[in-house]
Amino acid sequence: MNRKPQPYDDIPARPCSTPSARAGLSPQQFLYSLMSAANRKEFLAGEHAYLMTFPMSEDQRQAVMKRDWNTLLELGGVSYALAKLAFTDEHSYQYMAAEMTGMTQQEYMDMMIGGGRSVEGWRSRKERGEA
Amino acid sequence: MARIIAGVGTSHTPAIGAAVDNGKTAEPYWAPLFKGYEPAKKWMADVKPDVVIMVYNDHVNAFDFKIIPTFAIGCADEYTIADEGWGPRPVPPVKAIPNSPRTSCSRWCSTSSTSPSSTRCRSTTA
Repeated sequence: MNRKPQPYDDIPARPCSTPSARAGLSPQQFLYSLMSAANRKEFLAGEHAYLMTFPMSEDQRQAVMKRDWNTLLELGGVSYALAKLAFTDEHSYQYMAAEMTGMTQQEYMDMMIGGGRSVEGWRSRKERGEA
Repeated sequence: MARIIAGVGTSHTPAIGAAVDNGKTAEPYWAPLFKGYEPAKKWMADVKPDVVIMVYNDHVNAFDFKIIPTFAIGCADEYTIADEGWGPRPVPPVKAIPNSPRTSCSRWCSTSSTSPSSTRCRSTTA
């Protein structure tokens, strides 16, 4: 696909763009299906079999099974939709957000009470030494 | 002619509703946030608006990424509470004002709607 590089391509975890929306459509359909108790039960009883009924990539399926939130973001997942997976595990949004940032939930809470995320730190792949 | 008296906004993380449902609003983590709502709650109790037009982010509860409208107007008689993954929140369904003049969209909208949460939506799009 010929696509002009965009300035925001350098932001980790793929902000909403046409490529990320395309990549994320199937994972989002899976996550959306978790809005029914019967589907959550079926998913938890056999995760890979359930995921096979969605036209996702195997990388996306493995990331779901590992609850690898940041990889899921890279592969097109959207946090509002990913929250449904955390809720299926009976975890809070805060638990998921803490895992995404590599903190414990308590550390995350302390950060938020202390005024939120510091402006210090990397904000792009380039700053993170990847680009 | 209606008179618009105010616009009121709030943060909208899913955790706020969960904090209410789980009785955590007085905990140190949450207390400052909920304290912040008090002046707005008092003001709204004082002025008692006739109609509230609620604008909110869908959070992937009605639209599942096959279609994401920038804005959509709900005109059903009732909207049930979405099951975001832990079951629907224990709050009443959102109902239209009885016998209210309906927007023109009601002519082609269904007069009732349920949450799509019971529907298993599986994309066939690769």
